[in-house]
Amino acid sequence: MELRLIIQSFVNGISLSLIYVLFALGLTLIMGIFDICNFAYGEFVMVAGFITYLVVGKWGLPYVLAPIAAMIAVSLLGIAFEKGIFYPMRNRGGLEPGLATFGASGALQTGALLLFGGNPFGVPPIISGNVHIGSIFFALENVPVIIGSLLMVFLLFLFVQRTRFGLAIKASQQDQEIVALMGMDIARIRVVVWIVASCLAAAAGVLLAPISYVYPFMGTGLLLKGFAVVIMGGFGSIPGALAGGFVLGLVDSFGMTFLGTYSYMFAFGFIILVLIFRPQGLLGKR
Amino acid sequence: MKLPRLWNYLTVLIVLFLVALPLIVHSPRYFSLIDVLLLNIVLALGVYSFWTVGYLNAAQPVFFGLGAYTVAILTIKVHWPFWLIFPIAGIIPAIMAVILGLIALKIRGASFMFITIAFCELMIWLFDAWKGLFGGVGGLYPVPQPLIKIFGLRIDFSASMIPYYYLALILVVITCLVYFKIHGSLLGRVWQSVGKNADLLANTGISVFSQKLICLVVSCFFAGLAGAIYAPFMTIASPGEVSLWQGIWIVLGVLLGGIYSPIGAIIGTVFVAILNVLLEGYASIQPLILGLILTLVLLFMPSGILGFSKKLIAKLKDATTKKVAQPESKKTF
Repeated sequence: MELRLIIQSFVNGISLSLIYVLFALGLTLIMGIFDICNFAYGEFVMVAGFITYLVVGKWGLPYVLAPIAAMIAVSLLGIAFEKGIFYPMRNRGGLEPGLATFGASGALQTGALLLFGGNPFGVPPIISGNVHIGSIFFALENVPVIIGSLLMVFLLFLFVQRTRFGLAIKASQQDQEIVALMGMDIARIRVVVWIVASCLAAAAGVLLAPISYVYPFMGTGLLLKGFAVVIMGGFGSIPGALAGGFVLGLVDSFGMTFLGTYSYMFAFGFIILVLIFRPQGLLGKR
Repeated sequence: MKLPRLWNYLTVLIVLFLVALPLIVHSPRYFSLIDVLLLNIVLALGVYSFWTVGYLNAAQPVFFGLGAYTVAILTIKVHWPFWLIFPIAGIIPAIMAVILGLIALKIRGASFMFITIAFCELMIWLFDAWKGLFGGVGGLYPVPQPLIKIFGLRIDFSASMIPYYYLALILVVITCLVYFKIHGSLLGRVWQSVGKNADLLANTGISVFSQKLICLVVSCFFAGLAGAIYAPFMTIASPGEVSLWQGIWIVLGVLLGGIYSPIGAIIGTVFVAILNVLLEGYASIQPLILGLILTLVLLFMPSGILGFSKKLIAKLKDATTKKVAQPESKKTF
């Protein structure tokens, strides 16, 4: 009985963990390079979610179009953030641009509220139904989430490890001046980072929409979880975001199963423990 | 902080005006707005003070709420007199601040702001969920109103808002005096250098961490006292009084006024209060307007209204001196 519950919550936790991982990867990428928090990152996911709703739920177009449309739109949003807020404020420390994104986040939420209203929208899942293995059941709607997010993580690793820009991104986490001296255009690297982070958020939004609801404030809870993952994993650390995402997703899922509503407290309690004993994060170096 | 002479007279004038305000304003609606504004100024000064050590605290309303809950719990459940509880309502948030600081102040910069946001969410959840102590979503009510009886003098706080107004005003004046005094003293210099270059300061042998902690604790102590006035004033302490956006409003006020000086923080809070009244009918688009203003102020007016007007005055002075200089130079020809 107990073993069945444990396996069941593990299975449930996996798709949630992967969404957290995608979200936290984008967040940590931006934090690692610019040393700032993007408080509007949750709204990137919200925008992608609404685009998925429009494409699949309202207009009835094939599901393949949703990620493409979402990635283009959210990338444009990301570039607008970079050119409008972060680049002009690049010499003003971390706090002020962070606050500016907080303002932008409120504006985006209210904009979505005015456009779509406060009711949650459902998006039909790609595959529905359940598979029973013994007494453990597995919802098939989680399959695209797992495949899609693993693909995105794989692509991100390929990009960061194997391409020139990826290497430049890794280098500029350490020292942007040296990267500039090596002949890389920092302004262009920044834009590329924003596009990558936006694509990750868009993927998270598109994959999250069918298994959850789409509503204007969906970003806030996700942002809190995403930051928790980043703090747990260490700022700017990509493996840290992976580990942290899995840990938080599973802690959430196990907490839900065994502690009910107190899981909220449980997840934050876990973060507090990490902060006390490893303030640099589980895999952080600083 | 040394003020020029003109400012000294101006502060005296402003204080006199504020003391005489109950003679001018009679509408209870505006009066309660002014009361809340005064309490918000206390919170804003806390945000400003904590900014000098390089952090932003978005959880000021939580400490405010803790103060309010302390008063509510101790008056309703234990029946202690208000004036005994009043200092306790500052001390409990201060203890909470010590706990938060010990855990989270190791983290630098913007990430700390996230921690305060998470803390805010967590505490709001706790206020909601712990029905036995905090009374759940409905909150604790009615909070009994304080009464002063000394030497035949009887001030009943339930009769009118005026005693609350003076109580809040006294708190604001004390807070201002404390912060202005601190920022003129050695301690203030140390705090400012924590914000500017913490590593250099650490090398002079000063514990940066404990300085940050002291700064946080002082600001939260005053926030708790403000909450202690708020609870009997509204006769309720509920989770509805504590929200994340309220903290952002306060931060916005401080930024709007000019985060580099305490006077700026006060001016900005007054501005935001006026803005709040103007936007009252449009609750649904409030975050949109608030967010746009926040972003635009940060982008184009980094030193706030105070810095902007100082620049403007300097420009005007330049322009007038040039105008005066021109005819004089013509005369010599």
